[in-house]
Amino acid sequence: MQDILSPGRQLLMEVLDVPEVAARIPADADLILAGINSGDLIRLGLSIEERTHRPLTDDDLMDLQTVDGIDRVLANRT
Amino acid sequence: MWLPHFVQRNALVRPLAIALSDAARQLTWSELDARTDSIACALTDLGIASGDRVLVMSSNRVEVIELYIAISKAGGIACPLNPNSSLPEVEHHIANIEPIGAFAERTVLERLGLEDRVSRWAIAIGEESYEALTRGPRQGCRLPHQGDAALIFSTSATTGRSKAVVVSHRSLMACYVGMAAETAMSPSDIMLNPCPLFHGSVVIGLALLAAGGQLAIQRDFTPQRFLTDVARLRATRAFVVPSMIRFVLAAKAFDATDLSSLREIMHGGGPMTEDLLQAALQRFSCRFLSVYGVTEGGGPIALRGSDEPRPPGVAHVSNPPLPAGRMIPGAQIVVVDDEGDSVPPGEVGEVCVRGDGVMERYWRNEEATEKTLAGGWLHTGDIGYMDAAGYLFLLDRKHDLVIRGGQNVYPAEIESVLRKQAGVADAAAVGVPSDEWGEVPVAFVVSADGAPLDLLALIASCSAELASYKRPAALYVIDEIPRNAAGKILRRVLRERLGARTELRPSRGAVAS
Repeated sequence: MQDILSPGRQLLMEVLDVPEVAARIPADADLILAGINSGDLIRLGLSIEERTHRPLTDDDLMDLQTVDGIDRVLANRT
Repeated sequence: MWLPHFVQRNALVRPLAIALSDAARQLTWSELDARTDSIACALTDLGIASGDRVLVMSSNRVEVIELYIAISKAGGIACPLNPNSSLPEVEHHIANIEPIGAFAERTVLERLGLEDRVSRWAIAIGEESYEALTRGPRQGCRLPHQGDAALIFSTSATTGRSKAVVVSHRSLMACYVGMAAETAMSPSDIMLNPCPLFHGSVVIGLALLAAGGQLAIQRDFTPQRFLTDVARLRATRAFVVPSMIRFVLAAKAFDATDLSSLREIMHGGGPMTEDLLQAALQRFSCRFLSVYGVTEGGGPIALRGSDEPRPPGVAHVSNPPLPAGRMIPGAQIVVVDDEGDSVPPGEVGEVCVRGDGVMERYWRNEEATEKTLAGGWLHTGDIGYMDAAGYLFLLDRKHDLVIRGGQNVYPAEIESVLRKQAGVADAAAVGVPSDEWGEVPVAFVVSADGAPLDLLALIASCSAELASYKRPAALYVIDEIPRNAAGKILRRVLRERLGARTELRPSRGAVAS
């Protein structure tokens, strides 16, 4: 598992209604199966677009399923 | 006979036109007719009898609609259920409808152990065992009657346990008649559908199919894929919930996407605000159509186009919302008082509807059926008024329903989960306004002995026992749940308490005490 305060995990905590839930999710766990609402993932995607000033691609969307994936998407945009 | 009928008819009239598509496959009318015939024959070989229920639990994909049609062709009743339902939710639904078999994606079959929970068989959608069903012989299928049940939808209920809404072929045809008359759906239409196919709103997609159009199914909604698919498919229509429009407008790719093919965006599942509608009208170049419907009503019962003049409402109701619309052909709407008598235009009461679209009954729930269909009218539980021109304005709900992004959540469902957790003496849930979702549920808990409660553990218990959209967006510890003399929870007091303490609003930092 990556560091609990990885950029992806931090961002996930920012968009969740209950941020504390994100702290308990393993970095490679499927976010939906871990109880994250699909609506939260929509907010996450829009938040990434807002921060990076670029639309998400299909590949990016496919990757936004785990904390590790969020980290990859963010890393590819810096 | 409606589902098999319109498939067979379209297969004759436009055999090579696309009927269904998703990211993985597309089916022509001819292919859809052949595959559903074969699946129906296979189901007959598997022992399906007239009126048998078959569970369908899947994310959006072509095969979901294919199964609804095939199960009908076999004389059975398709029973869609949210694939993200929790195990207790699924156990309750299965105990009620007693399906003889189940179709689900492999991950859902395994997560819920469906093979052991249905009486005969469980088949994984998308695997060879499923595809083999589509290649078998086609002869000997049954043709159901119009009054036969076609679908049984699961809905939330005031009791905290879901109810099962029985929808007939006649009801599905009534939806088509009303929608086709008012929206001019046609074979030239391509309708993008990101809304869940297990939801009662799927009847709108079925109406589009009956008109000979193409239903383009999105597995799930993301604003980015919505934009991509409108441009890629040259979609002419879409059916969405209002929160989806808000998200699409916020997507970075919006301005660079060619949306010129869109003629109409239909929206339902929750109220549209004036601000959001105006923002959407400024940036999309198409018409918007408000669809007011209820699952028990067979789907849409009132429509209003964005090009219709906005009626003013009535003087004695301040800040009227956007009108829900006027009754569609075939759905007679009245507003009644507490005695069940129709009230004059402008007077507030409960919205009731009668017509061929209305459900047959709740499955194995006579008490709820009699109450909801009292006097031959479907009592929607929505409170509002109708103006002199027939525009319906919705003001409130009779029951404690929260509609989160188009999905119904009854507070009792959340409360029953929270009350059985260790250390919790009492619990209550209410809906609070949300810019993104229309409403979100939040919950209040009372500690049994005053000791601190593990709020994250309580949230986790909600995640385990409730579908994710039902999970409270916030959880607050309070000393006592306010109740009236009869013991009824005073939800208005709880909402006022939230409103007075803005730091407790649930948008962020949601676990508080």
